[in-house]
Amino acid sequence: MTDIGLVGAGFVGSQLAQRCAEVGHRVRLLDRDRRRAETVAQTVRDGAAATEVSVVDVYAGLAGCAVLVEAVSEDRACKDEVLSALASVGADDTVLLTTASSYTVTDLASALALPAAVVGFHLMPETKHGQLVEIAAGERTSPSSVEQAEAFAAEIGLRVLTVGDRPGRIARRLLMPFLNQIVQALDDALLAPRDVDRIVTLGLGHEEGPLAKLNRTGIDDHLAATGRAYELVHDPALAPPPLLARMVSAGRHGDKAGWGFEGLERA
Amino acid sequence: MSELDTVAVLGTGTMGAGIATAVARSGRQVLLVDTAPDRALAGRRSVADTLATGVRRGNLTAAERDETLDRVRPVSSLPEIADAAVVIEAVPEDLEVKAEVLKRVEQVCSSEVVLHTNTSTLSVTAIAGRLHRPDRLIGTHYCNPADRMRLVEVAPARQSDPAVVQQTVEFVRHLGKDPVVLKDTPGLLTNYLLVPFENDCVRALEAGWATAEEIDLAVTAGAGFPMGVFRLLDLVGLDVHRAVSMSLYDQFHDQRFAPPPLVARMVAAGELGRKSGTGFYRYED
Ligand SMILES: NC(=O)c1ccc[n+]([C@@H]2O[C@H](COP(=O)([O-])OP(=O)(O)OC[C@H]3O[C@@H](n4cnc5c(N)ncnc54)[C@H](O)[C@@H]3O)[C@@H](O)[C@H]2O)c1
Repeated sequence: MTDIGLVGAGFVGSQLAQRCAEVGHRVRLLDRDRRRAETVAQTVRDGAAATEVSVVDVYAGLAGCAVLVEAVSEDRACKDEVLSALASVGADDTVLLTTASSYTVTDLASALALPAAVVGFHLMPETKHGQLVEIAAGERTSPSSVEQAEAFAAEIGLRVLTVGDRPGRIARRLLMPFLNQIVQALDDALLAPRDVDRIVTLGLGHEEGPLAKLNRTGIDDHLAATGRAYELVHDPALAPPPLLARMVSAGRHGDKAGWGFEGLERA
Repeated sequence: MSELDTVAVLGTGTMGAGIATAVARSGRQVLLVDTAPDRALAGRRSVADTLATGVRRGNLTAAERDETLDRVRPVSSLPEIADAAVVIEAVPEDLEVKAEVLKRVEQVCSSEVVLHTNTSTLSVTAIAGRLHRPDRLIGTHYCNPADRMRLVEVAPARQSDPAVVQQTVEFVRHLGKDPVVLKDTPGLLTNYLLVPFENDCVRALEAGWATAEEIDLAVTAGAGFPMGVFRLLDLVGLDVHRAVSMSLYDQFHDQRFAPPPLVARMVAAGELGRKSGTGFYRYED
């Protein structure tokens, strides 16, 4: 049994809390919105009585954790703030995992006190093939940190892929141009949104339509991620299609905003 | 058109035979045409095999199989399809071949015939432009295996008569399939999306991001594709993939569609995928 410190009780954070608790790790949760952390902790406890999930208010409460995970919003200022706070409570043998996908690990770790401890831990959503985590070492990450991250991922039942420190890693890097091309096809009025999802599910065999997926995971998040990846590698396939920016300006962020791509068939 | 109307399928290879099976299952009479009578006969045998598999899997009864097969008739020359109300073209993916065969169909069939092309990468509008009655042509893109896959992308040419579009949508529904109408674009949506994605994966492999197994894992467990791209390319055949990519690249001039050099090297080395025993993976059988 290990103590896991988890910052950020959003979508990824709550999935991780659940997985950690299921295998008997003690989880300490911190979110700037304490109620959010409480809700997640309660949900996890309701799911399995014997689990130990607590909520802490200050970073000092995470001292002594063997694994520290940052799962906060994909925003640079946010990531930097949380990572430096985590680095200040980490011990020499602590591993510090970042769930960021569109910043390089090297870049995020370079300003920290413990760059050797920082490992990229990028989670992709659950599919029928299981849930994947892409583990990436930055230029200054130590091999033992990577091993710790791989062992932790395997313990909590993730499928592990150890990859290079590239923006978007592999799965997302490959998926973003595919999604951008779809958004552009809509702007070109090639077909209706509902028909895109029908073709990709019925014809290409995906479980979830790409537009339903964008609605679920956030159109604003996709715009930000593909925009940042574009800035780093200048591949035109990553350039955000104009329709994305228009939708985000209009507040069409997807399910969380109540509207995004409209007229899809209900799953 | 009514249920009694006859449908002709031109080209009885993989797609033609699958489409013929679906059409015969819907209760219509099907005529099979290929380059030689024995090829059309071979097409009917593939229909029979597919139906037999269906019986084994419990999807249809032996009696249904026999009735269905009775509706499928190979013919030895094009004039024999003169009475067909719908002609579905599934000949090789080459504009000249498709245009030639459809022009000959126009000469033998009535002016009311509806022509379907199952092209996967060519412009339906470009094929229509070669015909005397371009308004009678429409793209109907079936997915492989055509007897089982429900999706049919329906792409009207710029010249297609709106009545032809409506009839075609009904025709596809009557097959028990799901038509989706979209603008005529090379690759329709399926290949327009899939081919550059596949090429991106090949380029990632070539650049040493990861092994084929690892990229396949990223694509399935990470990106939610049902099958790894390298498994799929091995199944499709590297030679076929290269031709499809090239055809799309020639029309879009977007480098994502261009077949990566690794594909050309594999084709040159005879590593075509499953059918040659080696592709991105090795196959023992
Ligand atoms: N294989 C797929 O997954 C797939 C999916 C959708 C669409 N398509 C498209 O379907 C078409 C056929 O593909 P396929 O995979 O069935 O090819 P195939 O090579 O299996 O079959 C083509 C058949 O056409 C015959 N043929 C050639 N010239 C002819 C002519 N002038 N008249 C009559 N028959 C002729 C050939 O003898 C052969 O039997 C192509 O346009 C292809 O792009 C293929």
